[in-house]
Amino acid sequence: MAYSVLIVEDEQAISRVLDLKLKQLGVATMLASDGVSALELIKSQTFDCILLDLILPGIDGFNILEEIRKKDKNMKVIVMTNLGQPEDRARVQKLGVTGYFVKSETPVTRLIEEVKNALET
Amino acid sequence: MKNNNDLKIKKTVIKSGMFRVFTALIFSFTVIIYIIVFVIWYLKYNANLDTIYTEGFTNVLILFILILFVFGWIFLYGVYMGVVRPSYETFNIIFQIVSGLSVDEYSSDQSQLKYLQDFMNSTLKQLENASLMRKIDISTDTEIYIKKLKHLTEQNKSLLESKKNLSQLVDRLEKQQKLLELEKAKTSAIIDAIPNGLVASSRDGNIFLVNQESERLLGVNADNLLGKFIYQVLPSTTEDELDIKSSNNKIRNTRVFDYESPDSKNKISIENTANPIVLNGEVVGVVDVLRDKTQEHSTERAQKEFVSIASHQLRTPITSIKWNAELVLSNPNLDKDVRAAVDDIYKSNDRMEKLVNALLNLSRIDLGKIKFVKQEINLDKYITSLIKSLDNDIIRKNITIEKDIKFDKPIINDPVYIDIIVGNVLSNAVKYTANNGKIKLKVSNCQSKDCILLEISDNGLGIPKSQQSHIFGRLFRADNAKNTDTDGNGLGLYVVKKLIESMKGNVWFESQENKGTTFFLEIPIVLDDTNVI
Repeated sequence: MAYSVLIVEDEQAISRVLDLKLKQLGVATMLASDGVSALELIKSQTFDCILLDLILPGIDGFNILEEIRKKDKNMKVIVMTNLGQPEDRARVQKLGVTGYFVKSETPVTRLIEEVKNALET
Repeated sequence: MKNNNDLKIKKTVIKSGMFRVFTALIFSFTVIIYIIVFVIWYLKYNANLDTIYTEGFTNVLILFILILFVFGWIFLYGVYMGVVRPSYETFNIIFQIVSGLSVDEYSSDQSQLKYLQDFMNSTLKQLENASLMRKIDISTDTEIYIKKLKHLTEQNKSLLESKKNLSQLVDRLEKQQKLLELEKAKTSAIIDAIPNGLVASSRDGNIFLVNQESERLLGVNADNLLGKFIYQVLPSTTEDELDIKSSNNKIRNTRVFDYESPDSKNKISIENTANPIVLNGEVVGVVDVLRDKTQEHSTERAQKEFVSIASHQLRTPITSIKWNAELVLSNPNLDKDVRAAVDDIYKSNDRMEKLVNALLNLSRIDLGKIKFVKQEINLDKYITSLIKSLDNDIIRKNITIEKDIKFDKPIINDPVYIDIIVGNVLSNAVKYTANNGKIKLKVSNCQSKDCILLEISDNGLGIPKSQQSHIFGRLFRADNAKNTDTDGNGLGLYVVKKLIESMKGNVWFESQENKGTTFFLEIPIVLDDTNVI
């Protein structure tokens, strides 16, 4: 059975790359480009892993993560953001995440590897 | 009022010694004239007293004058004793007839002295003449009076002299006071004209001078500032003030702080420059120069915040370029030229990313927004991963890396900022070391402090001696570095220094051009993140 991954990212040029890369791995993907639609998908479906951006239109990534944790404490969430400050990391890590990546500093292959690891463990 | 004044003058004249002398002299004259007349008569009429009263008009006139003198004396004595009380006008007329002076004239110092002197001189002369001509002894009483009169006159003279000196002194003092007042007015006009607030305090912190602008800035009246302790008025200056005073530091000290007046009406940002007042090499007080930085501060802040926001925003297109370039490059069937072109895009984008990161760090330092999040860091593991992240260049340039880690305990610090600090120094070492070069990383315990000493040495370009003092400057790049690597932004070492200092650590270096450089980083084992930037 194929793994399913939700990509929460408002920048289409970025989410498209992730989508392509994950599909190449045979992973089923869903895309959400804003906080509200992301929450709707999370409530209605189950995913093996969520790739989450923090700055989003509407509801931001921090709130989405809080909502996810209310529902499921073990959901694998990998945060990919351009907020790289320690306080942002600390805030996210308090809520529990599988990984935290600053997008501009991370090659996409590195991120995909991380998703693969998360899915396989 | 005139009557009161007249009475006063009259009383003064009556009570004066001169009036007494005057009365006494009139009495003496009367007695002397009486004796003279009696002697003349005695000689003329051969002691035939029966005939004295029968000798015509002359005798009667002499007798009349004699009686007038007696009555005159009785009248004056009566006045002196207070039995006879003539009106001011009557008294004035009688006094004028007898003395030739008006009461008003007499009562003035100058005329009194002049009159006394003239009177004394003429009396003395008359008495001397009389005694010489008539061989009559002057009575002892009269002599005493004359002596007293002389003495009084001398005293009066010296008193008047003293009075004159005193009034000159008073004049001089008044002039000096006026000059002082003028100086004071000038000084306060000058300090009030200064557009900055001025608060001067003594060494123990007592405020002794403020200007109008400081009253306005602080929202407190001068009365409520003078005599207060500077620490009460400008609480946030305490540390610096104490520092200046205790260490006899003669260097100006500037800081910016947010101020709220006691009535909460003034909420401003104040720049305070503390200037020590130095006397004979000792700091005796401080002049705090206050400047309203609110407007400037908010503009500056807006500028810095713009850098911060723009840097974040820039990361999105950078990511987009990075990942899409990666996607294209992952295609094994790519045309060679296209691959080279996309590879260039990827590398340029990486440079842009580094610049944005440097700008972001810079703006956070400038905004004072550095917040450390402490975590355990295993140094050996961390350094290994750091070297690995630079593998591309290390392998390409065939650089040998030597590790010598003599510290096996984890440190408690912020991994993100440690990464910026150590990463910058190590990537510089890789960048400025020639092919087949060598880089050494050594970690040991600091000698005195609770910290680790990380040494990163290379045998690369080195820093020209003339430029070594600028190396930690913002946007500074050494000439030889510019020629070797055109990508650098001159922010790396500035950020390193700022960050390590905010960790209460230290950074310095030793370098020889064309031989190599060693950077020394003192990093606290346990980060004290209170009072950071």
